[in-house]
Amino acid sequence: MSTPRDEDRLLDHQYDEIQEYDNPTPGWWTWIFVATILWGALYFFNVIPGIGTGKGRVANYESEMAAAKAKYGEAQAPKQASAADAASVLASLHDPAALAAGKEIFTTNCVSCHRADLGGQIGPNLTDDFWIHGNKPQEILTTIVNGVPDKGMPTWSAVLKGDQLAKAAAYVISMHGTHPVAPKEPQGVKLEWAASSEPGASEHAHGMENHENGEKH
Amino acid sequence: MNASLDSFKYDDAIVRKFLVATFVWGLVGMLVGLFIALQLAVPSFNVAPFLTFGRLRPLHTNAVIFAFAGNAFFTGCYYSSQRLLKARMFSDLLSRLHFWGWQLIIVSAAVTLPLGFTQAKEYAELEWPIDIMIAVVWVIFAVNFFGTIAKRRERHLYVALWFYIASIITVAILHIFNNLSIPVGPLKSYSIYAGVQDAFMQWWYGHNAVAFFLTTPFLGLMYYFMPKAANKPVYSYRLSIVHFWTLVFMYIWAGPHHLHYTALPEWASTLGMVFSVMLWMPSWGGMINGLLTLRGAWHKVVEDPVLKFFVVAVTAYGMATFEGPMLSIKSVNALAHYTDWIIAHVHTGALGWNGFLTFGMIYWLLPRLFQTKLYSTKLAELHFWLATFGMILYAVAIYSAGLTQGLMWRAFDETGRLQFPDFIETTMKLMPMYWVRAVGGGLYIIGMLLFGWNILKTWAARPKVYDEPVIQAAPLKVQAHKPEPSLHRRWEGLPLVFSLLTALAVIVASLFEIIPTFLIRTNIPTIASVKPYTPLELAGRDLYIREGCFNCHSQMIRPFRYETERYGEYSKPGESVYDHPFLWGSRRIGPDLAREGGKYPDLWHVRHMQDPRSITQKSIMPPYPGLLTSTIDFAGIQKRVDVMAMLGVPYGDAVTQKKAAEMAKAQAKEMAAGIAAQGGPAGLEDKEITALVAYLQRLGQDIKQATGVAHHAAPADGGM
Repeated sequence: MSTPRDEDRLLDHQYDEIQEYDNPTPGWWTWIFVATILWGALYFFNVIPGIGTGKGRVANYESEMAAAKAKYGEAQAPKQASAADAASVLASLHDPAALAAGKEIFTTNCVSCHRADLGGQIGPNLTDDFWIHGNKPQEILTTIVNGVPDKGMPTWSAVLKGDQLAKAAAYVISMHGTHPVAPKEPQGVKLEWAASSEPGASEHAHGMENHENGEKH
Repeated sequence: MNASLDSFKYDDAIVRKFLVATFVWGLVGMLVGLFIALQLAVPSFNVAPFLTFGRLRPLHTNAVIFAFAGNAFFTGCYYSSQRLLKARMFSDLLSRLHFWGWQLIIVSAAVTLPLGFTQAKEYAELEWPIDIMIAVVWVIFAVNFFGTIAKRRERHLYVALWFYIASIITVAILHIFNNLSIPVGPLKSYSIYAGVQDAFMQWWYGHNAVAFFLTTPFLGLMYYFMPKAANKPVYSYRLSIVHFWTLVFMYIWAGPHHLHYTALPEWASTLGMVFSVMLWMPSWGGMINGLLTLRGAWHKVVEDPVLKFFVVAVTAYGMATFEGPMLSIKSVNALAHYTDWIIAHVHTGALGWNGFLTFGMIYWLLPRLFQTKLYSTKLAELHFWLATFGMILYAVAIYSAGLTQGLMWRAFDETGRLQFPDFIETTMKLMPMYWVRAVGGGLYIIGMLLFGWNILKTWAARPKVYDEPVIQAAPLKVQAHKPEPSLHRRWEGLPLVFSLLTALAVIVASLFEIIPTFLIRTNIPTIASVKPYTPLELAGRDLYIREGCFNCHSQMIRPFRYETERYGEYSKPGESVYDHPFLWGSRRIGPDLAREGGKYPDLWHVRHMQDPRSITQKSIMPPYPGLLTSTIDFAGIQKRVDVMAMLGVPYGDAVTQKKAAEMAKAQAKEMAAGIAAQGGPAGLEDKEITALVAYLQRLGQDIKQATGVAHHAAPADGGM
């Protein structure tokens, strides 16, 4: 480190009375400058491991993805909601707190397409008897989990967590048959609305499944 | 008196003009800044179509950079150059043409930007007729400046003039080459460059606009006004030589650091980074020479607001030029890019360095130009403290906002999924900080009003007639030649050589990056499935540009897991080969749109544009209901497609058979029918919204088809 000297040497020129000292550039300035240049050259030529771009941004990305895949598995693959998931939907259906949470989730994420009263706008009416992707708890949950990307329904499992998905599904089921004002015209197939919203529905689930499969074809 | 002496007077009238313009435009630019800051916190402040964030943000940046800082530079340059060269300006007429021409450019910008005329390139938004006007006025300034040098009565050029020379030459080069474009209409053009190359040219320009419009001119001003105000010699002549040349040569390379992890070739991004880091000490050379010049004068800083402003200015310069190299390091940039961190960084420079240096300079000039005492030193002190406190509030708030959002974007939960997958959540977190920022900016502006009052009252106390002292100096030809102690000293006496060397440093450094960017084909691997936009989509793209959507939405997904999880496959160089201009964006106030196509139904977009909050309750996007009622200019589409074809975009029939309008109408009709069928409004087949939605639905689609990234089962996907 050089300290400013008291005896600065003034240069003999002056411009509009501005004078200049002949002080040297500070030593630390010079050395840091040289160091950054050396580092810059090393980094650019990428010859010493740890200094430089290494294998490059694409290779780094690919190893980052591979590491995540090894750690968490194929998170992105669409998945079928399981019977256990469906059971948690039904459980939520009878839990007022869960339904209230479901309503909140629906209000934040779904009303833009399905309207606050579920009467449908961009997306279909969710209160009538017509369903495009099925009306069983398991099917409704699956539709929410995977979305229908080709038609603009987002893959909600990328946004909502497990129990949030079930609560949202439960809220949708709970709103069936509420007859909102001026709903969207029916879309999909008319399906019988069976026991899913009734108490103890899980017991009926199996029978309902068979019934619907038969009706669809 | 010695008969061989010339007698002449300095032209201070022109300096007074520039001074007033500096204040007026500074206030306007800052008020627009405050207004758009509030728009982010209160979306209803967006008044479509003219006063939306997307149209006003460029007005703010242009006003502050070119109107405020530009006029400030001209003020100080005209004052100091005459005195350093011992000569009146070359031509009073050119001085006046420069002044009025520049103000006319600013007024044109203030009118055309809110009207939606923009080239969509940051700090180069102004359309081609205004670009030509800028080039002409800049040449007028250059002729006037170099003419003054030619008739100087001081053999050697002082360091302040070196910086002015570098600024004038480089700004001309940058401005011309970044703005090369083919006009489509009186106020509309397409950049001759596309995609990666356009991005490269833009940030070669953009970064060096910061360098040669906001840094080197102000270093020149500092070298004159700091020793003047402190009445001390400059600390080190040798340091000024080294840091001048290294700064001029190295700055030019740094542009690509604005494009880290984008589709720009990695070697360019790496060069940008290492040169930015090497630039740290050359930048600090200016700070050291400024601060060490104050040795032995610190007691004066206590009582003199001029020096106070200078000290903060130089300190802010030092902080910003440390932060700049740091931000250019790729891993730091990965976090900061697209966030408010960058906004905070530029405001340290603009509010601190440019603002404070300008305030100090003008407080120093006021008594000299208006030949009376400064109206109130106390008010100037108050201005200083308000501006300092306001700037700190601004910085603290916006640095926190940038860090917060950057960290939220990359956060994963324990199951390996994005912790904040909903973009709006990350926006809502920033609201309190946006309010604090507005308060900070507000304080800075109150300081500005005190500044204006001080200027006005000082002006009011001016003498009836200004005293114009007669200066006497010997012309160069009768001055004795002394032997030059060094080569550099000799150059200082040879302005032509000096200017050529400066131009050479800048041009050579530029070509090292430009030539490979344009000539190496492997930089941009082509993707066969990437096709030109349809005529309707192109019209929609021009609406996207008109509304300034790129100010808030990027179209460039970086290769990070947290980006691809949120937005989809990372962006490839080959995807934007038909993008004249490129629209990668630099800030994500809203989410990235590179893969927006097909994500939502058309009707979703129609409703969202009409009223974003009907779709996303907390959205801060401006509403664009006018798009549903204004009609598409079908007649103008052919010309647009023709110009694109001229630039090499393969349009086929649309051009050879002149079918562009017909094709656009057919596509719009089909889309409008679809929207109506989805339950949306009828009759949109000739409305602008349809063109815009067509463009949005196209984004990112081409590559999906190529790589089969599309969802595992896409049976009914034949419509595309």
